[in-house]
Amino acid sequence: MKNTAVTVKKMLRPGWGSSATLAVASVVLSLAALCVCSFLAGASPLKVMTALFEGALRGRYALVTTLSEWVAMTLCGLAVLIPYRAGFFNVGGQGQLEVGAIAAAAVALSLTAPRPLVVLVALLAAVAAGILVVSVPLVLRLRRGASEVTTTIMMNFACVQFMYAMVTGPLKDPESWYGTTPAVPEMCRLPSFPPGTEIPVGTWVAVLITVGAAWLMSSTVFGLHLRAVGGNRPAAVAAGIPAERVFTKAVLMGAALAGLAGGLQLLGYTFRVAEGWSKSWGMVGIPIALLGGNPLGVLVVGLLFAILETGSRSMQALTGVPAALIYLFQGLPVLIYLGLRASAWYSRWARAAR
Amino acid sequence: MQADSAVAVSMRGICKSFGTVQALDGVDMDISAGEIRALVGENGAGKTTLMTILYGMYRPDAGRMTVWGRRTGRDWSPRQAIKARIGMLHQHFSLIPNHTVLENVLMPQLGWTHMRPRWHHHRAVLEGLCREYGFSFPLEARVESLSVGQQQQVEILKLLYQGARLLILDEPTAVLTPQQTERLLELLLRLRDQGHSVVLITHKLNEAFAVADSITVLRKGRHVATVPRKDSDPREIAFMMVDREWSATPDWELEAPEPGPLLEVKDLVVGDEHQRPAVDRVSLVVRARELVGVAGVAGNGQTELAEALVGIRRTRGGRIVIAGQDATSWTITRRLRAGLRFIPEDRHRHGMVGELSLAENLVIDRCDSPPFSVRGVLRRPVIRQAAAEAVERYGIQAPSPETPMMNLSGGNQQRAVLARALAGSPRVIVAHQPTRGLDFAATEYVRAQLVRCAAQGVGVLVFSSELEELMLLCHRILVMYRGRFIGELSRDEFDAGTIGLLMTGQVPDGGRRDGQGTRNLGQPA
Repeated sequence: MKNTAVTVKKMLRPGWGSSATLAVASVVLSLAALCVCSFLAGASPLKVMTALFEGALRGRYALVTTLSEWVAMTLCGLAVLIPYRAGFFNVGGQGQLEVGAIAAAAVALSLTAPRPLVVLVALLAAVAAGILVVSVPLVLRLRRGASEVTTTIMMNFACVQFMYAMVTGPLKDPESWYGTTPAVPEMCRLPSFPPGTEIPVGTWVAVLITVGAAWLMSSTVFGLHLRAVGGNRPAAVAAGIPAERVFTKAVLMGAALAGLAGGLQLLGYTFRVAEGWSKSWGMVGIPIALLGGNPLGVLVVGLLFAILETGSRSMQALTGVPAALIYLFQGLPVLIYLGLRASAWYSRWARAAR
Repeated sequence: MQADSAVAVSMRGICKSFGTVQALDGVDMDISAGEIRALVGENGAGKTTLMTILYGMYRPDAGRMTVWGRRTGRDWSPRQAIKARIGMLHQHFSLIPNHTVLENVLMPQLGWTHMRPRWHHHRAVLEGLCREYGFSFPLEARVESLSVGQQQQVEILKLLYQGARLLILDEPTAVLTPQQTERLLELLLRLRDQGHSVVLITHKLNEAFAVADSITVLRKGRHVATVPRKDSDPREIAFMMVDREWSATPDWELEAPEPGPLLEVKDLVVGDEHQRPAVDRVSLVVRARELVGVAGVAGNGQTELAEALVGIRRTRGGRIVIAGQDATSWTITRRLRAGLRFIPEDRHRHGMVGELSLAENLVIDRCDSPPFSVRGVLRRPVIRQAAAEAVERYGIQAPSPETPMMNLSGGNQQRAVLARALAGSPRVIVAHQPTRGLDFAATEYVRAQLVRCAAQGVGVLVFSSELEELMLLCHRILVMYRGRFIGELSRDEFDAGTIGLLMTGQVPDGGRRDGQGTRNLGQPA
């Protein structure tokens, strides 16, 4: 009995272990809160949960939608996580994603070349656009010390307006009565893989990138440098680490992933950029990164968030509980997580476990 | 009722500890009305702690205080202290830079109900005060546009306007130029003549002797003596400040240094945050097998010198030569490769990354080269192996090499910092306060390691505010004061009194004060 207690305590030691525990606890608590809310809304919590998960996972169409959401959420989570580890809080994922999608659309609509080439160039353009967008806050931070939280948020507004300008102006579909680009031609769209399964190829890209990021963070010199710079910059500098270079690379990497997410969503899922075309993937990336804590965690939390996003429709249709409740859920786990973390109860427990 | 009580403040048996550190151990102190009292002692002697207790910011663990004849209660606080007409000038100003002088001075006295302060009335009173004390700044000026000296005057004006009769000044001259210091000391005398009491916390004895009526010496949290100024002299006070119990000549076996210089510094100039020269044309030489100590009260340029040597801080002039090569413009990495190692003063800031594991911290400065990584990929087994060896060799107590560094105790963190500094093949070690905050065993261990390193041919430069440590470890001691070396003693000349005196800026009579000033000190003859 006592041994079990010791083992459990060891498993819950502060560090990765306990952060993960806290994340799981806050997700579970939030799901419980969701149940309570749906009960208050007059529906049976069990039915709500069933509708939610069935709506996201049952049936080919639902699954494909969930996977597509997963791609964007995971990449946007990484777009927050990687710079965050180096000490840059990238709140501008949404803007990077929007402009990335516009860039990809511009390429896909204008370039006539073999399919792999068009797709490749479009995605590269998306990546470049993401980097371009973040370079403003980055330079302001490096040269002037401006807080990136403010500047990246401001860039979001600029980017969304830029997207509007594009879809109502130069890139507007002449046949449409509202602001949208034409649909990208069939031949430029992303295929599914393996062929015939309808699994978007973006899913594999996202998984590969996540695994690559996890490896990069934990097993390379760059990853170690990055964590050192984010953990304690003066100490990293004193140890001879080129802090500014590492920091810059991490930020550009994050923004590139957000841009890529925009490109992938366009070519694999929405096929158009339009007014209100995207969900707030870039923003949801923030709670996903905070709860995930590391690249693989982002992959898992991203999947959960994608399930909730997709399932919310059928939840509303089947039980009458408003789908908007899901957005409440997206914020709630982070609040609970931070609340738990800050609580005296947790710090006592962490000390005891040490 | 206040003016006629001769004793303004009486403190009895004040004790205060922070964690395991006993900051004050039964200190008694009386301050009379209308006197200037200098409170002197080395860093960590407890001067500031004692006064912040009087000001109500800390609650003493034991002891009692009487202020203007009345016992202070358990709820003694800065608010009550201000009401009891005690004012404290902290080392860091508490001014709002973009507010005017007038607003800053009035702010503490305005409540939320004062919708329309009587600005004209206040301004008239304050202008009177300014004239009286010779403050020359306009009341409408924004504080950020004033010089540091003037900002300090604003702080003092604030205290006076609050009605303070006892002013506590914590190292007020640390930020001032000599001329500003002069003016401040004159101001203190004027305040005294008007019946104010002043407590001047300082470690500069010349200031204490310039204005104080009596001097209280603290050492390691204990009251050593309170003496009237006229019955004493700086030499006696310096003796009291440093540890008198320490007298025996050090019996450490030190090897003779080799002749050639390993680290050579010539006319080095380093600026501080405000672009003032913190290190002013300093020269020194460290040879192989030699331990050279730099003594001095903190804040006299030691931090800037150490950081400039290892490359964290930019130099503004002069040269740094490592093993015959001009390293002045070298990057930190290049200096590391050349064998220059650093044990930083503040390990939490410059020595470790708390979130990273012990193993990662041990190799962080060399993880980008073989054998720890190949083409950018870390070789975990090699790193783990190296960590295990360091843990074994330096006796680091840790559950595992994967334990986050922040979960280790202070002593073990310092052992890890030391292990990293001594790994590979160091040639010169710059050790800044290498034993600060360590317990007895860890202190002994770190010192022994430094001596062992020197015996193996490394040159060691030790910065410490503990004289005892330097006298124990070093072949030579350089004394730093206001960015310069003002004295140098070789091992057979070591004398706590002399060094203590030099640390406070006094050059002892008959000492080695050559005509050309202090520039050539630091190099072996």
